[in-house]
Parts: sequence; C-alpha cells; structure tokens
Amino acid sequence: MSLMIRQILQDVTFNVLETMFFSLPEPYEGGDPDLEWDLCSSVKLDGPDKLALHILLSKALAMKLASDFLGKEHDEITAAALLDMLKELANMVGGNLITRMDRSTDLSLHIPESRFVANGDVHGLKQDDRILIQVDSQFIAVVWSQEIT
Amino acid sequence: MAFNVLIVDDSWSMRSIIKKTIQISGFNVGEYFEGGNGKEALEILNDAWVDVIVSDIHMPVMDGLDLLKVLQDHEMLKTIPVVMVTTEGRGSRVEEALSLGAKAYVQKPFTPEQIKETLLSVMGAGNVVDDKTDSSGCDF
Repeated sequence: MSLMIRQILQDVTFNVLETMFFSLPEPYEGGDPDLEWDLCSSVKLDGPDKLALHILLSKALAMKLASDFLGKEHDEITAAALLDMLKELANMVGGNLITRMDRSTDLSLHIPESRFVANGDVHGLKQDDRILIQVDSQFIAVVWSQEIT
Repeated sequence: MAFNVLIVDDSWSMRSIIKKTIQISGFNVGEYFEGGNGKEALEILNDAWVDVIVSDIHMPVMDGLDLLKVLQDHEMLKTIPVVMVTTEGRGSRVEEALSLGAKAYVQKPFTPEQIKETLLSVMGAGNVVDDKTDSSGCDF
C-alpha cells in the first residue's frame, strides 16, 4: 500500500507543480538532508483507509510557487495569499491522489488547512513515509500517515 | 453579447486563476462575480444576473453538489449552465455532478486551454471575442 501511495503521490505532485505552478520538479534520491520548514499544508482523506497528507516547504520556495501561480511579484504576495495558495496545493494533491486510488478504495477529501510552522512543530507530525522533491534546488516534502480502521 | 460569470471556490487564489484564465481566453465577459461557497453563490444569484457558473465541489458551509441541488429546484436558476472545476476526477463524482445538472467538468490541475474549450462547449463560440482579449496582469 505504502509503495503504491508513494508512486501515486510523486506522480500527482509533479503534475500539479508542472501544470499550475509552472515548475520543473525533480525527484530527490540522495541521503536524508537536514531540512528546515517554514510552512505546512495538510489535508485529511477519510474512508476505509484514513490518510493524513502534509506538504512542507520553506518560505522562500512557497513565495516562488505563489509568485508563479498567481502571476505576481514577491512583494505583492501577502501571508494570507501564501497560505491560501498552499491550501490549494494540498487540495489538488489530495484530490488527485483519491482519483488515482479510486479502484482500490473509497476515500473522501476534507477541507485543507495551511499554517506557518516552527521546525520543532514538524518533528511532532506522525510520518509513515515521505517523498522529497526538488524545485529550483529547494525541497518540498510530501509526508503521509495512514490509519487502518 | 457579453455574459456574466460567477466563480465559486473557497480558495481566493484559485478564483483569481480561473478569472485570469477566462480573461486571456478572449471571452466576451460583462461582469465577474465571486463566492467562497455555495451559500455565498446563492446570495449573489439572488441579486445579480449570471449567465454561467464555474464552481468547485469541495467547499465549507455549502459544497458544489449541494449548490447544484438547490439550483435544480429553482425554476429560473436551473437554466444557468454550471461547469465544475474541482480536484477530484473520480467517475462516481463526475457522474453525480452531471446527474445533478452540471454541464461540464474540469479537473484541477488544469491548463488554460482546458478551461477555454470547456466554456466554449457550454457557452458557444459566439461568446468569444478575440480582439478584446485582456491579458493584463497575466503571466501565462
């Protein structure tokens, strides 16, 4: 299950970043880098298999993505716009994950949330697995945890 | 003749992207209205003339499917074409939206061409005016 989720999540995250954020994501296959995160966007998926998805990234990369997404300069992007853009990113990744998993499970998507985080908050996130993606030499982590009911 | 568009999505940034996409597609739009959920959309529809609705499904307060149900129960409002623009592309969700009266369905992430082609199929080519295309403030 986790291997399937990993592959689908990588595919859908790449598709979202390329199509809506005009980015060129690359998979990261290196070791475990010591990364610090400034923002977290989360969405829950409910059903026979409950999943929680979290997307973590730095403020600098979030600003770049928001700038490309909205077609605005960095100094025009407010904190509210940044958080709204990240909610939509999690929403698109979660929704497309559900679409791709449709044959094997029946999941429903919750309303996403996003927030600024201190690195210490992130260490408390329940993580079953994660994928790291590089965009412009910066990292996005897609983290998930699964709860079998 | 210009037509009025109501964009319904709980994400301000997504409403902005959809609006820009329609602007650069060259449609002859009179006014844009925006709502953050189905309830806000109904309040706008109570006061304004709208020719086409572009709506998300997943929204707080009142989602897109409940909005479709209310529209279908209203003699005037059920004639307004609704295009669903949403993250979920599951067959069951698409069929549910179409059975509730949606005219078309676009899955996020989308390209500007997908929005243009879908609105063209719903509104007809007569509503596109290429020489009035407004690309101001748009980078794609």
